[in-house]
Amino acid sequence: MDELFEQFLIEGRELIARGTEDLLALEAGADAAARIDSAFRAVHTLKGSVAIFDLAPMAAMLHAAEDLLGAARGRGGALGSEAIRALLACLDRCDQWVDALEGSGVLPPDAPREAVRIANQLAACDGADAGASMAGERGDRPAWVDALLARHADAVSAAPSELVVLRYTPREDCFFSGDDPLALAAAIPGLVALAVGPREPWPTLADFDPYRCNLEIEAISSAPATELRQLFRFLPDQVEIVDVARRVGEAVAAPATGDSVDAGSRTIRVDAAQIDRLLDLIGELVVAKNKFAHLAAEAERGAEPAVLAGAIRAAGATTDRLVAGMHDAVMEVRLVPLTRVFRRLSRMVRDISARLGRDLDLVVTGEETRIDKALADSLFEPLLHVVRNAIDHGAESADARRAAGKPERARLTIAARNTADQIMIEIADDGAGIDADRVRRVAVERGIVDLAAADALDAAAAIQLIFAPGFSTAAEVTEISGRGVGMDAVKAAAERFGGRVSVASRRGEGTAVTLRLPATAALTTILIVGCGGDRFAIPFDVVAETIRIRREQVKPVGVAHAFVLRHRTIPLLSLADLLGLPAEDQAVDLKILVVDTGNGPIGIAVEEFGERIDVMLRPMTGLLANMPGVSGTTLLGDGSVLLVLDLGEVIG
Amino acid sequence: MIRLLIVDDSPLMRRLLGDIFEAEGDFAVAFARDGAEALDRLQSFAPDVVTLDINMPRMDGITCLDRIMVERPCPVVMVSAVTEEGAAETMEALQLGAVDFIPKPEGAVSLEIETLAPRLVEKVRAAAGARLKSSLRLRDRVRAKAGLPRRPLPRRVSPSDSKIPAAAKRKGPTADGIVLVGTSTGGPQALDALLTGLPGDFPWPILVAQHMPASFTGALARRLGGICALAVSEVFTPTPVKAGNVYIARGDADMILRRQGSILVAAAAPADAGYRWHPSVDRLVRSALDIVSADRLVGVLMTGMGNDGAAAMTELRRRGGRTLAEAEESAIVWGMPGELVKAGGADIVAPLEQLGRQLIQTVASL
Amino acid sequence: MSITLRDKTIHLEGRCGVEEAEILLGHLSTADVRVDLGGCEHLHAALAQLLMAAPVPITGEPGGFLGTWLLPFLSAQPNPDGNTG
Repeated sequence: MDELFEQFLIEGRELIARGTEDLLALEAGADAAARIDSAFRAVHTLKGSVAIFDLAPMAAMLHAAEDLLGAARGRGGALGSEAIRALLACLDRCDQWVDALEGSGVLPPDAPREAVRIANQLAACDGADAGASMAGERGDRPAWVDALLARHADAVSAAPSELVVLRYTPREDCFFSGDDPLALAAAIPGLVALAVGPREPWPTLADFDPYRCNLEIEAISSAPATELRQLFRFLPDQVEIVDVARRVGEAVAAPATGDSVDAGSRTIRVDAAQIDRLLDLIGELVVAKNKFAHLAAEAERGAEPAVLAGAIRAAGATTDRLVAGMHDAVMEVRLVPLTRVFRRLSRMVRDISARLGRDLDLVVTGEETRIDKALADSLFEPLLHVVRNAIDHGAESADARRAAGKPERARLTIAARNTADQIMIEIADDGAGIDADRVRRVAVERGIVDLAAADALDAAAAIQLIFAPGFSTAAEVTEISGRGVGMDAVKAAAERFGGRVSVASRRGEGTAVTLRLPATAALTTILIVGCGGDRFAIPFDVVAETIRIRREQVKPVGVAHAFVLRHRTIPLLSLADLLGLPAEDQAVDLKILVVDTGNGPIGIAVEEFGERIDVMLRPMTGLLANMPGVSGTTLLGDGSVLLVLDLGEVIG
Repeated sequence: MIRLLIVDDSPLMRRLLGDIFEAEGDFAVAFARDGAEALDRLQSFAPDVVTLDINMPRMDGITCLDRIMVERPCPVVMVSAVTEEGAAETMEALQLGAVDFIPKPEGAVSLEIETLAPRLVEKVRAAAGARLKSSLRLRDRVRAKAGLPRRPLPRRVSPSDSKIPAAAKRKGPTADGIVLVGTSTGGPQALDALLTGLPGDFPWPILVAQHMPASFTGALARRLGGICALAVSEVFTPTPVKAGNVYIARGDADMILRRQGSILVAAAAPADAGYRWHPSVDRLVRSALDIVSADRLVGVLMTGMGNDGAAAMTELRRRGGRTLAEAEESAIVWGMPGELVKAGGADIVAPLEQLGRQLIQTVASL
Repeated sequence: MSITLRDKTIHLEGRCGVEEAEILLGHLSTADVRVDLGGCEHLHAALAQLLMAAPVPITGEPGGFLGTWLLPFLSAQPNPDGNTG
């Protein structure tokens, strides 16, 4: 059963994602019939899976969703925005429940009620009867509750103060489903009072259908409402449970929604091809291993040492290649696309913008970018912070935007891409931007920097202060119409994953927050370079080529320098200058790395080219964690530690 | 070994069904994720029996079934969602040549798998040995060769279509006898054949117990009502029985005959755990024997695995009533009628296409 | 059989299930009949509603849920709690 359940968790998430994608596409006006059909199938299959397990509320809710989609499908496809919203809410709840199921194995205690509520919403969209009363959801108590309490005033006054009132109206044909309403009534824990009567007047015995249930059962219990909900969990549509322990106005305990985002799932879905690749590699490894036994035998037979050494070296090289291959393959397995994280974000964007009444266009790109599973699981929260801020504080009202000559609908971009060893995730808006002066002022007021230091910062550096712990509180940040809520938390999270975060903003044009995260802990090819008497590692992926030019080929361009490579003028920087190291090199030939960090080729002069090797990159920790321009360290075979430069950031 | 091909787009369902059958030991199981893959596997795996999900991407189960029946006919068991729509689709599938269907496993499997699994296995096992209607295959082959689209089938008959004539026919006289029909695997097709052969003025009401889950009998009644001259209804509430009417027992429950004052009513009763299959043929026949003289009863037992109805109908015959059993040559599974014949409880044994005429003659002679 | 008719008294004994509703309905139409619940351990809702609807006297003192909670509602007279649903 456990394996089946794990399979369910995987499949459930995929189906939820697929359905959500279809619904979002529908909302954006995609080809309705095909999307409705696809969403219907996703919900249908999900319902089928849910039905296998003891998850009656979830199944009931999905059943309503299936009905709604089925009806739309029957009509040839057309779903109102109301219906789409309700369906998305349903899938969203499923998503949370799947998380809860993974964490605790059970649905949250409020699931039955929540399921009835959502099912009613779905049914209402279907134009059907809104169904069972939702009295239990509201603060005010239905009249029958007070009537029942009044009728049993004596029993109630003698009972403990915490009471639950229940009304159970069995379906007419409940006997056919094997229900015995009285057996259920007998199982009610902590019974204080009971009333059993006919729902409609009894017919004469001559007309009596003994298999049609005409009972209504009301009960008062001193047991917790959760126990009663558990007892009636298969019949959420036939029972009303009202907790009368708390007076109206008293807060209802926040339901544990099981938002255990951090409890990353331990299951990964692996493409069969990846397993095959691993198996191939292992097969080759076995062959390589046997080679050593053969060589040992050769050595015993007194083979020529030089010949033997060559053979051993060759076998070692083969083994190296295979180990590296296996490492890659295993790392590959750990990589998952950002799709799921981005979809959840998209939904949140819709929710938040709807709540704030901000119309905005959401553009998501690069969701296929693959990232380490552990990282993907932990990314949602920090990204949500950033997105929430972008909408809450970045996007202006439609009026303000019109006045500023901008399109009325704000635009929010969530983009991911792979750069060398990093995943870049950028959340950008075209909103009001951040006022650097106010950031400086607030930072000084908060004692984060002193006045002189703040003034010394240019605008781009000043706005990075929003990541400083204790920079601001929500209210003040809203005033600067910038961002800041929880930004220190975003920074902390990014750093926890070995990443970094930065912000760029232009007044009136918008803001972009960029997270740079290590894509994997996999082997990375680096080039070792010498500079200022020290050695540094450069990720080889960014190095387009290494060239040598003569010093006189460098031409001054204003205060900077450039050189011509294949008829193209390329700016030239010195790594020593960039790192603030003494430039010692006066050689005639300049050694230049031509790198491309996304803004066209740039030449970087170094003093020495070293080896090119594969290393395991370690994210920066401790004191080094905040060092700009450095993406990690690596340990060399001789035990020395090498800083791995992030050229993109070094160049700035 | 029984070679079983499980076709389902849900890995979970494939796994669940796969585990059940692999645990049997004498099933060789292969899987396909959709209709297109199923057709491939059909050639490469050569299954003895196929379980087929209806709702699948790329090629749905009904289309796939249609192709199987044309390209490489073999017994197919539909795996059907227990819903109204699922029921209608299942009826269509049975019409297209599926041998039987099993409801999609539902409910807390951890609790019910022990009771569920044996039934699934039993049905699939029976289907593996079922004989296919060659005529149907031939017709479909011709149709496919002619490039004709899939035959349109009566789907849901709207209430206005079925109810008005039904109500008119219900005014028929109170009959002096009752026909009791029992069937299981292959029953929907057999009922098609039996009931379409009866005239609208057939003098006795007909009560039918067809083994089925609850949500399917409504679809069965609607479909039969759309194609035969008699009025067909599913029995939910106690209903006085009248000539010219066919009463289908509600699925997953039992149907009993009860006397209310001077009239006879057919009534639904919660499934009695004392009987193995529901709606129970034995229980229906026994309830009739309790209140109606046996010589006013005619029992008909048609295709189906197991033995439901054989005991009660044997008793019916012993007390002077008449019984008809479907012959082995036409039965998809000759279980129930076979047991009746073996127990010496059958007056007449006839192939399906003759059962209608035999029934008319038998009732006319009483 | 847990429902029997002896001397114009319907005896319900042990756990009485839904499958006996038909029998109970039949017995209840007997003239001057009464119901004895003394030996009844559980009464299925289908049987209970028949007893609630039928104007027959009920005797016996069953225990458990049936005796403590349900008994007051089983006679056809308006019950003291006046529950109207």
